[in-house]
Amino acid sequence: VTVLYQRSSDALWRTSAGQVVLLVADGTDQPFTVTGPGAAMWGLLDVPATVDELATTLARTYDAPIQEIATSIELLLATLVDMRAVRTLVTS
Amino acid sequence: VSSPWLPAIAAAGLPGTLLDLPPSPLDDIEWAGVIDGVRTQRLSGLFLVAIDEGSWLATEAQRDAAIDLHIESMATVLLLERSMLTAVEILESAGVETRVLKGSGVAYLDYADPALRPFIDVDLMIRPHQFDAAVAALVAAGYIRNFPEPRPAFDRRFSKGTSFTAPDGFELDLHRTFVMGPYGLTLDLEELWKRSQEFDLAGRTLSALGAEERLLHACYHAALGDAPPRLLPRRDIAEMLLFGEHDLDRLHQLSTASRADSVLAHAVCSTWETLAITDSVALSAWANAYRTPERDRKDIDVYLRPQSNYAAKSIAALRALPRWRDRLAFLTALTLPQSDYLGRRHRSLGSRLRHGVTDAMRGRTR
Repeated sequence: VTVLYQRSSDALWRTSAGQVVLLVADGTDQPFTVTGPGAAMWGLLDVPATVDELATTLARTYDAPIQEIATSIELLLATLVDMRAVRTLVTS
Repeated sequence: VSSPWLPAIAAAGLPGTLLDLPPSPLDDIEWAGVIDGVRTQRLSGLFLVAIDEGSWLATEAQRDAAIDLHIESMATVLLLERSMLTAVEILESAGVETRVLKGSGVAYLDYADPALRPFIDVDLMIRPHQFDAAVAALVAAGYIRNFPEPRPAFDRRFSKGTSFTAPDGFELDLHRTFVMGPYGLTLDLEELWKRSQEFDLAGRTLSALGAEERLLHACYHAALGDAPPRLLPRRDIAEMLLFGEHDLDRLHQLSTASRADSVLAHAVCSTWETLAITDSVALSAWANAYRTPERDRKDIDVYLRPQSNYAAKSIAALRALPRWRDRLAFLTALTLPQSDYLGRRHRSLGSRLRHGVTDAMRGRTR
């Protein structure tokens, strides 16, 4: 089973100065910001991607160990999924 | 304009502008004026890009303040977009067609990056014959109308539109036409509604005006919208003309049919002048050569005077109504409105008439 992540189609967002301001269209939460590598990850989520694919690209961008990046983005993705800013697609 | 640097910020990145940005970081006093002006003129996106590209020299603390201001502005924009999506859904459910005016429509369709174009309210345009249905649908959904209609049918026949406070607390402006007063009444709405341009937002497809119609609206907004005029509507015009593509025959057809050639020329000339743009495009050359008729000059002046008010524009609007029957209905609605309208807008009928006539006469005798 492979889990893919992608931006929710109903997310409202703007990017600026390396930050992403996000709001889920049908949610009740206030806007929140994602910064640094998280903002770069958001840029990659316009197409479905696995954690490994995201970590590989970001590790190259930030010249950091893949495992360290993967751990961080898993946490962030879980938060974004919980907020419904990111959706998961499961393929087998 | 609270800082002399604001026009240069509004012109940042435009080809051919002669406005220079400061050669070194500003001191705290001057900086405070700039950041206040950037906030009120809604220039935070352009300002941040100028800082990050190095054309505006800022200290680290100043850059942080500019980022905070812009993030706050973008957060507001997203909440407004969510509010707009809700309103569009309510109106669509009632069978009411909408066009997004300014705001998201211009940000997504006319700027390379929508983050460059903040806004602070939601504006939707409605066909005149659907205006009453739109108001009813919104009121049924819990929207509170900020001002009552002067008399039945006034909105769909004569008004610029009306505003609501949405259940989420944001303001929604429902437009029948672009502006109140004479230029709102002569706008060719039938022609304006013939075309649209779509954009996607949060998984939904929304309709804005067509490209030429948006440019015409930007000109109305820049020339007639605020006294004193704001910088961002002028940037909108420059952005559209210097980076976009427009069918100028279609634009002139629209403006001539709406008796708005003078508005178009005034808006483009003042944009080129305020932003000190030296590059000429076909429309700026046309605007530069255009000679405004005296009657149009008086009508535009009604909008530009800082003390100009609702009543003065209404009286000026009378001249734009071709039929006596319409003039009578318009005048009756304004001089003998329903009591709840009168109570909300002016203290008495006498003060309404005095205020309007005095202001209108002031304009005529200048």
